[in-house]
Amino acid sequence: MAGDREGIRRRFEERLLLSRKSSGNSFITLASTPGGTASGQLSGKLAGIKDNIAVKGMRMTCGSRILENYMAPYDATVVERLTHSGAVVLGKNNMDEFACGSSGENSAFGATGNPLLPGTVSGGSSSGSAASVGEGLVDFSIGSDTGGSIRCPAAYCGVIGLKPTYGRVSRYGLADLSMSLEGPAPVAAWGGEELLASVMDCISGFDRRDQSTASARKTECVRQLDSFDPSGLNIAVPENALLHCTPQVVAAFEHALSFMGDAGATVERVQLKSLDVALSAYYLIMYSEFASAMQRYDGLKFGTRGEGYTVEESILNARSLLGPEVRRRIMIGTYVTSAETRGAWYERALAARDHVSSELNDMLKSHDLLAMPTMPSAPYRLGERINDPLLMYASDILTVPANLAGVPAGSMPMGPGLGFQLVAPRNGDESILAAFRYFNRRGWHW
Amino acid sequence: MALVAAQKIGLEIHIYPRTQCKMFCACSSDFLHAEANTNVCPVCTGQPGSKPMSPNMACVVAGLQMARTLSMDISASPVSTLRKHYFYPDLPSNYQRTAEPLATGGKLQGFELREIHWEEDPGQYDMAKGVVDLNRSGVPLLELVTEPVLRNPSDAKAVLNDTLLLLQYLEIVREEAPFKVDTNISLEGGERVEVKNINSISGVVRALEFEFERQSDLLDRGLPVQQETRHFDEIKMKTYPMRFKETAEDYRYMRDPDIIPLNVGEIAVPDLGNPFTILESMCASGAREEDARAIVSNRDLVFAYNRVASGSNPLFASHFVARDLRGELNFRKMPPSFVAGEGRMTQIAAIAAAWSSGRLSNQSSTSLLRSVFEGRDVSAELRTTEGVFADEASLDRVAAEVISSNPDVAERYRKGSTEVINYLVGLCMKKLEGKARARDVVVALRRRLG
Repeated sequence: MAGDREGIRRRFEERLLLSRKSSGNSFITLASTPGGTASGQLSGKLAGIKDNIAVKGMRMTCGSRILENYMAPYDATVVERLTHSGAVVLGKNNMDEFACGSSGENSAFGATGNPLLPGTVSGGSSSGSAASVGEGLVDFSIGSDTGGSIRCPAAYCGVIGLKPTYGRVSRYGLADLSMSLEGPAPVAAWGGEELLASVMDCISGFDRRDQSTASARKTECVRQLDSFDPSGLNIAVPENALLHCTPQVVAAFEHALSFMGDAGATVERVQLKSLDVALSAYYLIMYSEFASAMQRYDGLKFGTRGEGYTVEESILNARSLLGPEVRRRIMIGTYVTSAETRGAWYERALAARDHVSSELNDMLKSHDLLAMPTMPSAPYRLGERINDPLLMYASDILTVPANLAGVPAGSMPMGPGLGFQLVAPRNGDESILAAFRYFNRRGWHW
Repeated sequence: MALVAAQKIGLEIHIYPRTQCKMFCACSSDFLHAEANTNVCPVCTGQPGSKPMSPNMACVVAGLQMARTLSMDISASPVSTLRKHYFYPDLPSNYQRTAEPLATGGKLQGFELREIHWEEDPGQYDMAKGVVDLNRSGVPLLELVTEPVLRNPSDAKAVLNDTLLLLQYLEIVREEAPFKVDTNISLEGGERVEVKNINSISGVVRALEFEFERQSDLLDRGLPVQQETRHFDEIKMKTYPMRFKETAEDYRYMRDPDIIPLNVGEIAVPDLGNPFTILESMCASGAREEDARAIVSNRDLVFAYNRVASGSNPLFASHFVARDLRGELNFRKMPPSFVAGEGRMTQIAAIAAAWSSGRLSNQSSTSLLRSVFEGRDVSAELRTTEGVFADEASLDRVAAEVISSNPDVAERYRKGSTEVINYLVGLCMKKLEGKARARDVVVALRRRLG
């Protein structure tokens, strides 16, 4: 055992050194010691933790100046479970500020580089989580997914990411973006399906500190990892989703799809009609919940203190530290939930959400899986879209439906910076990882 | 000339239910005694990433018990917890968690009720020092709201007294801090004025009286009464405009996405009876209301009353329980549950029965009662004491002795100061060691005094 511990320490030091030297900027804070000595399923596995997830005694910035010096006073449930199983936290991953962004460029600590396609965006908001895995600095990372925040950077960086069923992994310790949509989400390298499965089995299940897990069953991802058999499966492909994609993406997607078709799966082309309203519903709900969640950042009780003679003035100055995208979302969220306008926006968005959710859930009753590209295009150049928020938002169209419906969805590589997305019924997390494993075992490669 | 203005008064009673834990976390709900900022955790200090636990069930059950006693309609649909947004230094997340009504309608003292819901208290902000104590942050509250149908301060007093009585009877309130009250009052021709954060029933009465005077004075002089929120200064007994205006604020109420709505209709609630029904029947059968209220404020005292009344009569029993029994308990700082324990009630009821039927003197009764409280078994003593009174000859002899050794007092009696006879009765009783009825002693003394 002592030898093991020594090995773990040596590997930790080595990766720490690599991470410090890396130009990818995938960490905001690096750990100083390997920490605990627990042995278990994940013994010695090096983990990155997105910087909106609390690790006791480590800085937690959420990629923002307002939390630049905030020390988390407690462990998130996922962190507690991972370290109890022997995982070792290497550092806190860079991210778009408060998870607002899908390019990894909105961090107060600088943009995250894409290790697969240098010069392009890494995707977001869990940019550092996917990039640090892609660069081989850590074995796996825990990010979060609110509207595609793990699947998008996983696609752009060429790794696999899973957004679990809503409520199956405790959110306790995950700083809020949009509470009804999000949860922690793991990412690992292509070929790391078994590790990802172990991570899921470790972090999932009931947690009394998060009510969304009230009826959660622990996943059995490892046990079911080799159970995937495409023959006889019925896979839905929403054709209208492909209309949003570049020809490069469509071609890569059809190629990956044929791999399943050739293995005996039935591919059925369908229309996901509510896709038209999914993006609007997602953004309005997210803005609203985000504006509420962000009320607490006033610099009075924690975080960077604002200067000022009055309470109001110091709150205003502290909140002026928030970046432009965060402020934009707070302002819109405050507007759409105000007494005068909530009927026109917020309540309609909730109704639209129900609409998307029921259509997608119905589709997943009659089909085993739903397949789509993860992102409609390949990663673009850094800085290319940063001044066009609407264009940036539009790229989330294929990932948000799973969040609105609370169902699991994963992304695996299908081309350079391109992700193949599988969506499963509620609690079907296991089958997504098993499908990825199948692709890998059968020698699939783009 | 002063206008006789009709008043419309409404109350928002923020009750502190007796709970171990806070509303949405496992921290102790003690904010009165603990050192500042010691009963706190990531949840009640609003740390990034913290999530609320499900609503404190003790608080929810207390609300349901109140709702049932007040004949309110318990919500048939699941009850959501809401977020009420506003910036204030005592509010860690800058939103307060409150809830949809768990019940609506119902009546108290004949006045319509609007609703009852749960919420969490903010922390305590000391504006002068600029410090915040978050021990109170997240402490459970039940807010009972009346319709604005009360007509005067005494209506408010009656409603609050009954609320307190109900809370005490159900044993669901913190005795040291039962509630704080917001009240609104409007006179005909004026806007609605809200007075916030009043900590006592007398404070509410005084604040309403003050507002009535203030508003009618303005109206008399043809000045407008504007809609505003004021606070009550308990020391100066006056209301003042709030430093922070919040009339125009939009709280952006929103369902808390982290809290699962609660199906309150499915929660089992113990049936502990209705204190108002008990009060009514006690008074109807002859008990004095003041005594009856003192008894109904505690279910052990109600139990004691029923036992005593079955061996005597309601007037005697209410007086005995409310004054004698409660007096002994208060003197010894004992909880009323003491009387119900270890066969004490049987002895107490026997003493009361003998006393009320005249088989036991006041002095013997009191002394036996005290013995019970001191933990002695008095059954044997009761049998020997009961009915043992001095005979007529000894009464006469003692009366003669007392008169002859107090000639000046006897003289004053004869000159018309008849009340001095009480002094002589006391002296006789002492000599007789309490083994006599006061009325018999009076007869003996009068006979001697002529």
